[in-house]
Amino acid sequence: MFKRLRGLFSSDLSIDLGTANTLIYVRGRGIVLDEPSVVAIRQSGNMRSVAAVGVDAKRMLGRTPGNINAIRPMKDGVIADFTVTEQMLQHFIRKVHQSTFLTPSPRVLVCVPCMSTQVERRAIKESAEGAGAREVFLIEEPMAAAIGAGLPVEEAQGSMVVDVGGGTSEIAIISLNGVVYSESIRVGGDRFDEAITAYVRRHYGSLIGEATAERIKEEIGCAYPGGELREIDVRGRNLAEGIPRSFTLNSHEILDALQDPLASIIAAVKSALEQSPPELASDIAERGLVLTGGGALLRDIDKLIAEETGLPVIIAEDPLTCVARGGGKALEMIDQHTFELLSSD
Amino acid sequence: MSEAQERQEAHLDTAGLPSPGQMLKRERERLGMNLDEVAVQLNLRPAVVTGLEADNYDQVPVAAYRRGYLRAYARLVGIDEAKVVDAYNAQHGRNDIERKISPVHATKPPSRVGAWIFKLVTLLVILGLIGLTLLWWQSRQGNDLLGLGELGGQDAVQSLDEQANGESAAGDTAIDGDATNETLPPLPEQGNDLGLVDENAGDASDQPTSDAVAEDAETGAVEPGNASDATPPADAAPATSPSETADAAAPTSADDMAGAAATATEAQDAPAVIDERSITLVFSEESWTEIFDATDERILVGLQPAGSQVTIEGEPPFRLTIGNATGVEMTYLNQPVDLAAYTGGNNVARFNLGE
Repeated sequence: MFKRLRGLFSSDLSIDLGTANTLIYVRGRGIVLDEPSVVAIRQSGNMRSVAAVGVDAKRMLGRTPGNINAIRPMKDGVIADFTVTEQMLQHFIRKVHQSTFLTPSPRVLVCVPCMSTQVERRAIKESAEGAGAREVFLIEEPMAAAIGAGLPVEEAQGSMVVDVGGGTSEIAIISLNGVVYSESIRVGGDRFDEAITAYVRRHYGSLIGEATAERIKEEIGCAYPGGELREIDVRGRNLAEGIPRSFTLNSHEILDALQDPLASIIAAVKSALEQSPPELASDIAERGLVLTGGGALLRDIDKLIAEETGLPVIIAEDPLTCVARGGGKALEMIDQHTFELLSSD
Repeated sequence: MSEAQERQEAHLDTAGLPSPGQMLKRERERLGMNLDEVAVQLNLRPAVVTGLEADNYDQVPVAAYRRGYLRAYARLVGIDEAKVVDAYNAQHGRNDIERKISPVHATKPPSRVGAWIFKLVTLLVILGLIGLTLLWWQSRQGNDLLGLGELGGQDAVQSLDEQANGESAAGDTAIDGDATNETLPPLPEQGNDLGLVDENAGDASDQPTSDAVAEDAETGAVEPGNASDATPPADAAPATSPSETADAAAPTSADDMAGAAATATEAQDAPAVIDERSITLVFSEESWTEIFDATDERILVGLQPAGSQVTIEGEPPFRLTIGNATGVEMTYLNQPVDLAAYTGGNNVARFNLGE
């Protein structure tokens, strides 16, 4: 009863609860929040309190003293730490409602990986409810990504989306508002970072942190040979000497480092194409596939997929926010009762 | 196709910007690539590439793909993709994506206004209800703010009031009978305690001349009192009302006892008549008191200081509201009135007297 009353003073939200970043789209206002999914927990005695959330917490990642623990509560696209996720969501939902008069109680649409289990979906739903949502809808991430990229999902035509996120990569073929085929692999931006860290340790005998690996990927990472050669200076702790050392990496080395995760993504895309019904396969061959998610920002990843599959590859506009925007559009269609993309279980 | 060209020429005249197709074609020719090479690199059919350069998008019906192809082409020939997309948007606008996806967009602005009005009206209705509730409380309580918010206490007081009304109604008929002492016990009877009634009867019978008569009066008074207590007041009233005589006033008791009671009341007849119009209140603690008489005239109102004593007169029956009832002693018809019996949870006594 009170939730419903408070709901009158809350806006509907679409949340892209990603492994790396959480984005919130507010109905009528657009994307209002884009922060890393990181929470810093301060431990004093038996009391656990939230020290920072989002950007501030991410800055603490790997740099915390003993009593503070910076956590990424999402792992591989699903919830790894239930309570911390709930607190993070609560923080974000409060943040997008400026008014402090009433605790917000919005209707929330959350994007979930398409291969997530019932248990994982329920965990996401319950943590959104725990964070104050009065109604929770779930939408599969590739569907939201396709809507966000502006694909004609409601038409009787196959559209293929490859969403390379932080924790997972989702590949889906969509037609008539439904997912015909979907595949989710637990390879994403995080796996790229890990691959870079492993490469540096192997070839330079130095240890670099998560944040540094991410910076290397963003600045010089590439997926296809032949582009201009870029370099970056990084510092890491030399394992043999135990002293921080500076060294230079170039984009060819990173390309080499990223081979494994990229190969998994290509294999998944190929397998999706193999299993798609022939009519849809012909549509996809005609129009190509659309890349969304943060992984689409990796230089020349479209060239790599185009080369490997022989299909036209398009990078969606503003690929990072595609899922959240698509969720927002779906949210606007909730009131039309014919909308069948959403599940509430 | 000719239509597209016309539009593009018109655009060139006004803004001086080349169309996306022209930009791409110029760059491709500068790099010395031919159309087929581009088509192979982009995995597109040559017809689509030709269409892109001629700004003819018949081959690509979906706007999202058009933009995607243009950007992929721009990246391939190494020009800024944002420029190409801007040129495309200048020609075709951006809204085609939105139109494609949700018809809800069209109806959104009015619905948002409606939602605001709905919110506003809801807020006003809620505020109105809160205001009305407060007004109702105020009018129901009189000026007594002590009882605010204590719904349970309020109910208790009300039910006690009703009980008291019933009791005094039963007593009223007895007054009709002989207007004596005998009517008094039912009031303090609320204590339901034989000992308490004994004391009251004893107090009342201080004035009678003989102890023996008083003893008889005591039992006579208690018996009908107990009877009316055990049976509902409604039962007691018809039992007593038909009879105008003292003999019939106590039909349940023995005849000799009724006779003895009659003699006891004769002794007290004189003071009882005077007392009926006056009430004496002794305040050992500060108390807010309000008393109305039968003519609905407010004969006492206001905060009475501790240690004061007030005697008021008016037409019975009286309607009383006495705050802080534990600190007030009340005497009516020379009998102390047990306020505790009328007091609710908030220590406010509300009752009628002398009906």
